[in-house]
Amino acid sequence: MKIDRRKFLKISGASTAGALVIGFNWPGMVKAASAGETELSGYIKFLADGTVVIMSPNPEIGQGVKTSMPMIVAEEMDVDWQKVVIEQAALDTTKYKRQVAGGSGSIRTSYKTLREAGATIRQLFIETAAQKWNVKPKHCSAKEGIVTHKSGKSARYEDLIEAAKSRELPSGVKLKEPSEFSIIGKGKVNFDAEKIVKGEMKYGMDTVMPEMKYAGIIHTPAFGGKYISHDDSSLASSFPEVKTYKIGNAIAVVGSNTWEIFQAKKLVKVEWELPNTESSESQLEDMKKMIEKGKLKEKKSIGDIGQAMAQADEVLEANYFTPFLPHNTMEPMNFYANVTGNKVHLLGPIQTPEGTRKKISNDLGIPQENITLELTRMGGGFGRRLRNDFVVEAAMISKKAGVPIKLVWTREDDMTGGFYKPATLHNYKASIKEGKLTGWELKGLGMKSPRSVDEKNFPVGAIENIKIESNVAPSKVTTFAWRAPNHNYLGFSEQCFLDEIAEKIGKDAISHRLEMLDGINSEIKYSAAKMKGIVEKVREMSSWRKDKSKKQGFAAYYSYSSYVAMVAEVSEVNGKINVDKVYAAVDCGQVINALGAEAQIQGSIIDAIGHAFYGEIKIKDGTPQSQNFHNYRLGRMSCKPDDIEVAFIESNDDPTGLGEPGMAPASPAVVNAIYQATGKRYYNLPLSQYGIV
Amino acid sequence: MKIDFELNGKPTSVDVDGTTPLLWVIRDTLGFTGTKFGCGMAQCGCCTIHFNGMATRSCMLPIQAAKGAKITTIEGIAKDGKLHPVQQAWIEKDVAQCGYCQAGQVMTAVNLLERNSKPTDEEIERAMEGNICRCGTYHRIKDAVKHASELMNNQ
Repeated sequence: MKIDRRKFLKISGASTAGALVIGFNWPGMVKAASAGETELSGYIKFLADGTVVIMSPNPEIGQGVKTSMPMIVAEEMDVDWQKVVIEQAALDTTKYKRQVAGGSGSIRTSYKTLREAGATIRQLFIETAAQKWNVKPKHCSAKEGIVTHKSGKSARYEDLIEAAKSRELPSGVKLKEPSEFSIIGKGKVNFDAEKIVKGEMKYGMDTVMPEMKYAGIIHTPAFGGKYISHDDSSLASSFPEVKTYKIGNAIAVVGSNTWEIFQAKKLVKVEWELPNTESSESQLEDMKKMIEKGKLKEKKSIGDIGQAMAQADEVLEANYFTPFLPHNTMEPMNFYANVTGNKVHLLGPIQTPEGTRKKISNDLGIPQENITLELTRMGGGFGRRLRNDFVVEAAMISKKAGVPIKLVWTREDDMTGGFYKPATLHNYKASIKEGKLTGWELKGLGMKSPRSVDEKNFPVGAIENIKIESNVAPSKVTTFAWRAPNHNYLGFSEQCFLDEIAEKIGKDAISHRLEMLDGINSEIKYSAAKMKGIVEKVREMSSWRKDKSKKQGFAAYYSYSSYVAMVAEVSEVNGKINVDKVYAAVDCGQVINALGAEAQIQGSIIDAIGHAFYGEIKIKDGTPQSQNFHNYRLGRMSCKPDDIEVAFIESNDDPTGLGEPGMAPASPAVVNAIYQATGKRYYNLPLSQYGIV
Repeated sequence: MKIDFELNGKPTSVDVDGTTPLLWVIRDTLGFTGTKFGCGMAQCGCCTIHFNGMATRSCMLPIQAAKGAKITTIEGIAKDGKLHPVQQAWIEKDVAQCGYCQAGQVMTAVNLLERNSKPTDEEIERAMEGNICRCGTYHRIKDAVKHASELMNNQ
């Protein structure tokens, strides 16, 4: 594709003295990445003192894009990383594309465009210097913010700013060869690390604005509950200034500080209609009945599963259950909103700013261009902040109360009023004939979720006869994406079942997996060669089953465009499981930030193990039975593996994301290792119900 | 009620309802937002501060109990513009992901090392068990505590 860069990259006319401001904007550039999204732009400022300011467009939830995305621009610009300053961009659909933190997609969808932007700027400085020296640009090179001519003459970027301003941006720039990278692939500390450890980093929870009031919210205690009436008369004596407002199906409480509204909330009596009789037990029964009665929809059928089962020497069957999980971001939901007349100012933590602005625009009847949305660093997302229910609440409260407010949810609001990871039930059957896995039948159900199977992923394509069915199990409990949606629980059941099959066939789990990968056809959506690469890598790094005293379990999964294989080692001490070590082999193409990439995998392993051990929110009468961390256990330091070793496959393929792919293989690798240590297979999460953790 | 105490080495006075938890006085009344709200029932450790030299959860401690106390928050552990070795170690080991819980983690670690300058692995794990991190940064937290111990012992 030939691109006329002058159309999409421009030197800002508003450049102030001594600074160069470059905006970039390229129609058509990234069409291949995702249809319908045709524009990406960024914003780079060169200051006279040599500081380079790079705006980071995507929301930062701890996945590290505020550091890694600017690393890509800085690499191709060839500037000194020490002089780079990163600022979080506000929502601006005219400048930026896909300002979303989700699906492990930030790096994957923007890599090439960020490189092009950086390379164009490098070339601009080279051409500026060449003209100044009256030499050919091809005889000049750039490194760490300095242009050098082959004669030895050199100039700093910042000293070329004034001359560069009057030039047209170059076209046809050449990107670096990966062998030339000096920033990409290296380890760079999280840009905000110092602010974080000094307590200076501002999260949404920390927002303080002029005239700002504080708002709390009272939701229905049970899923499916409906507001009938409320009585706030007892506020008058203790909190005369506090006011209440009905907001949708909830009551907002507005006061002058956080503690006041938390206290005032307890004094407001709300009458609810609570028709929901669901319990965790009834939900599981309902799912079992749906499977028994065949209330399922076909997702995939290859070969003849009926015949494979009929002709099998042996049929293996297992049911796996995973519970509802709240997101439990450490920073509870909150948002600042100021609705004044026909204008809205929003500030806070949200993974999907663009969709949120649209929603607010629709709900309040205010044009999108009148809505400003600024992003704060997020105290975790994990999918919860893909939803914008709390932003809508904040805007509605500000509108009704007629003042700027910061809405603050308590931990109880957050844990009980969420969009949980759906509870799931997976029924598997495998037919084995003459030592070979000949048939695979999966029936998957997600509570209020259509996503419980993945008919385009392994082992589809590796088995002759396949049947995959799924359905939504009805519930009033609201569910949504939860870190590595679908894969986090599907990976557990599938990888545990495959381990059992390999044993039944009498084959080593890894050898069996490699054989299966060798037999793969085009039905699969990923590269079998890459999957084999990580499986072989993890076998080698873990010295797989060479030391019989080490109780090892294996799992591998392709998730959100990256490949991760793991071997876990566990030991049993006095009936309790300790995870001694986890090895992870990862193929995510070109690694951008070595330190950040490793952190995502380490964190995913610990996050997945913590939830596999303890994570569960039970339901009774439609009401969550855990409200805070006194009766909901998140993984703490004691559940982390004693050691974690992560290896990335060396690759210059375009990078894929890492926020989610480490989740799916971690819990099955551990559960498979537990089988090696104890001789017991566990089919339901969390493992705490068995008293072994 | 009027309550006097010392915050990060400075005499401080507030006039608030005496049952207000210290956390909200620090954050809303005094504007030090480095100390975080996570659970409000002393379970997660996000709100950890030092109260007369002990790592303490500030979200359930009524301000009236702080009369005359010496309180240190995350904003008060760097001295004369120089980072505390624990902060330095946290940066060098690139601990933070989302970062929200890290102020509390750092405050717990500083207090551990003040009491025990060379903690064993077990002692580190026991001391840090009360601070939750959903991002799962525990591996690097442990590394950083060890590194901070080295930095402090080499000073």
